[in-house]
Amino acid sequence: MTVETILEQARREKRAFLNEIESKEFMQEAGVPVTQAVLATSEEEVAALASKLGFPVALKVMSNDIVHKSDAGGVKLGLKDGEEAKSAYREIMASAKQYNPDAVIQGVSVQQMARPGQEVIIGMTRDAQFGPVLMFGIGGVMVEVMKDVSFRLVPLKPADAAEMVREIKGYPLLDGFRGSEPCDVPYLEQMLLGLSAFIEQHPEIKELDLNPVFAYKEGAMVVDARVILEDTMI
Amino acid sequence: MDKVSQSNDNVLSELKPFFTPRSIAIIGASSDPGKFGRTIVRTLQEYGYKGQIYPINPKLSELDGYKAYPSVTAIPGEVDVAYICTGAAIVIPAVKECKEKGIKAITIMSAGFKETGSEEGIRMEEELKKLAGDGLHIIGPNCFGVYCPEGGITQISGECHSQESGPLGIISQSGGLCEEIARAARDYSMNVSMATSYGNACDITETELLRYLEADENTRIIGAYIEGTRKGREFFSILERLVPVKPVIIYKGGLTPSGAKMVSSHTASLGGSEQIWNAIFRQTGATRVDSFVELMDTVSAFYHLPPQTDNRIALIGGGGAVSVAATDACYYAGLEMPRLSEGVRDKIAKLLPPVGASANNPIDVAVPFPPAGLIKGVAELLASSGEAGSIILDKVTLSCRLRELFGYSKQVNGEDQPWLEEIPAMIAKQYSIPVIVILRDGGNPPGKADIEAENHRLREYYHQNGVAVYPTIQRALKSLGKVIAYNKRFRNGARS
Repeated sequence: MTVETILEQARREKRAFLNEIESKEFMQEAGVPVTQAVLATSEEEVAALASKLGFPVALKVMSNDIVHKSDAGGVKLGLKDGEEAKSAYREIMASAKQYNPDAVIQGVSVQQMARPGQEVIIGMTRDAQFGPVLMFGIGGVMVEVMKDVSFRLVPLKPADAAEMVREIKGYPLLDGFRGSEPCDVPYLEQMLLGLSAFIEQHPEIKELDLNPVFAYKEGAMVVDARVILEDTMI
Repeated sequence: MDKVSQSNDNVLSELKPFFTPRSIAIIGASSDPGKFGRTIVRTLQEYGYKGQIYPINPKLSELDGYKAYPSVTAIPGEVDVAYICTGAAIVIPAVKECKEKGIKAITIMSAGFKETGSEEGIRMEEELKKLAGDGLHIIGPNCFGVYCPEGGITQISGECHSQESGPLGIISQSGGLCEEIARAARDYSMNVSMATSYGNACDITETELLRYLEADENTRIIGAYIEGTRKGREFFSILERLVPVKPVIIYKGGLTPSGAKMVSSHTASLGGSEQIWNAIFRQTGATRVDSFVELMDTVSAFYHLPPQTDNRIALIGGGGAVSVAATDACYYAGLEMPRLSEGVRDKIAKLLPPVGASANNPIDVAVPFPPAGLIKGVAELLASSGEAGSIILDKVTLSCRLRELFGYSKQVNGEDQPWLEEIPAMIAKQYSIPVIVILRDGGNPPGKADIEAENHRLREYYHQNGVAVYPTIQRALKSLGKVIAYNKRFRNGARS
């Protein structure tokens, strides 16, 4: 699917958000590495896709009516073989229906488990006065409790990307804290610059949430992505 | 709403009538001493405005020696700018008459518009917005307007405005703060190119004023009080372009969540969140300050000190606590208080008393009243050492009169030299490095007004001779730190 067909589909369904599969395809267009997510609508399909992608896999419920997938019991991680994947599929479908009996459930997204790395978060929102701004932070507690994030107005210059990563208090965690391997900070900077350029070309994006992103010694991987569209675009 | 030309030549000529008008119509001019329409005529007169003044009031035939007119359309000659200070209800008809007369610039000082939050106020402001354009520009409403020595005008009341033009441009959303800044500028011996209070910004906003200051050759430094902006992207772009050439020091009001609420009820603008504004400061290199005092302190450092990029500080202090305080203040200001090389240290040690002094930076001269020769010698050694980028003098009494008032002279046995006080200015001039003198405010027993007066005299003398003065080492280093950070970023070419 191209960006245009994804947007077309959202417009047709009068949806101001993209689902995980669409969001990740969107991000691939921005040159951002994502764990590939594929839709499966039956136990058999789950098992077949999982062995094609390679174990372990993760399953996440796909429904336009369920925003918080974990709350609905709609996320199963680290599934090691076909049998585990099949039973996870059944559990997800059951608990999602219990969570919201009226929800239309399309199926689940099947994706390879990403190798764990340092969790970071990248986001984008539109400020009423200043337009699109990018956000960067360390994932988990650092962002939720400490609000340890930095912002920059789009477009970013290379120096802005470098400074916004280093500005957060948790930066030492990316720089090889207590003997751990330093993360590929230049790669994260490039991701931010790439996103900045992409956002400039896509006024239809209202908000963007890449959370978590795993940062590695070399490169990084977006594990979950969510794109919100401008109401005026649908 | 971008009605001001994009070209800088045009922004200068389009806004010129506000700053150097040949004639002014004052709509709402009044003989009633309680009214603003009275004050404004007097203020212009007392400041010595040389152009034509046309008071507009159908009930008057003359005011303060000026022939009054019933309406602007009755004025025979051309009118460069109109000041409107009537009640809000008759502002719109007055603007329409100005348009009819062909007036291109109007300052609306009257309040009672969007800032009231009332339906009528908002509606009238929307109408003003529509009336602007087609070559007509409006500053205000709800503002104190312009003070510009070059044009010989001040709408901002207060008799203590300097007649002399200088390199500091001031813009302020708030009229009261604009007046305070203009007054304080004089206290810091700074002259302004212009100071403009622009209130609700129905037409001319901070963005156009910044573009004017960018193009204005007299302006070298810009100080701003901003509560919010409606032209975010444009504001950002102008700062990106302007800051590398002229430092812009911004006191952004209403950054805290509760402060932001105050802002929306004050000048009816939208307060941006602190994180977004921080991003703007980082990306553009504009200097952030968080209070009126910090704004004045920082502007003063940019104004009086040479553009240093070296962040190493040397202190000449009289006493141990001064040294500790200075070292802490350096840390907080992102500056360095380096140890000196052995060679320099030895030379300095030879000048100091054998007991109670320290030749290592921060240098402790042991007493607050060392001989003039000692201070000069130490300062020269530091300035020429190549090991310090700036010199600060704290608790070193630098005037014979002060030494006398403090009762130090008796202890020095007539060693004081009258040229004592000239040392900081001499060093600043000879070595072209920032020199700062700390002169305490207050802290004197009642009845010691002489000390305050002498401090004031010294402060003025230093400011006029390329030396900055602060009442505390913390304020000094915080301000200097901002100047050095700016110069490191824009004068070293390090950032891409």
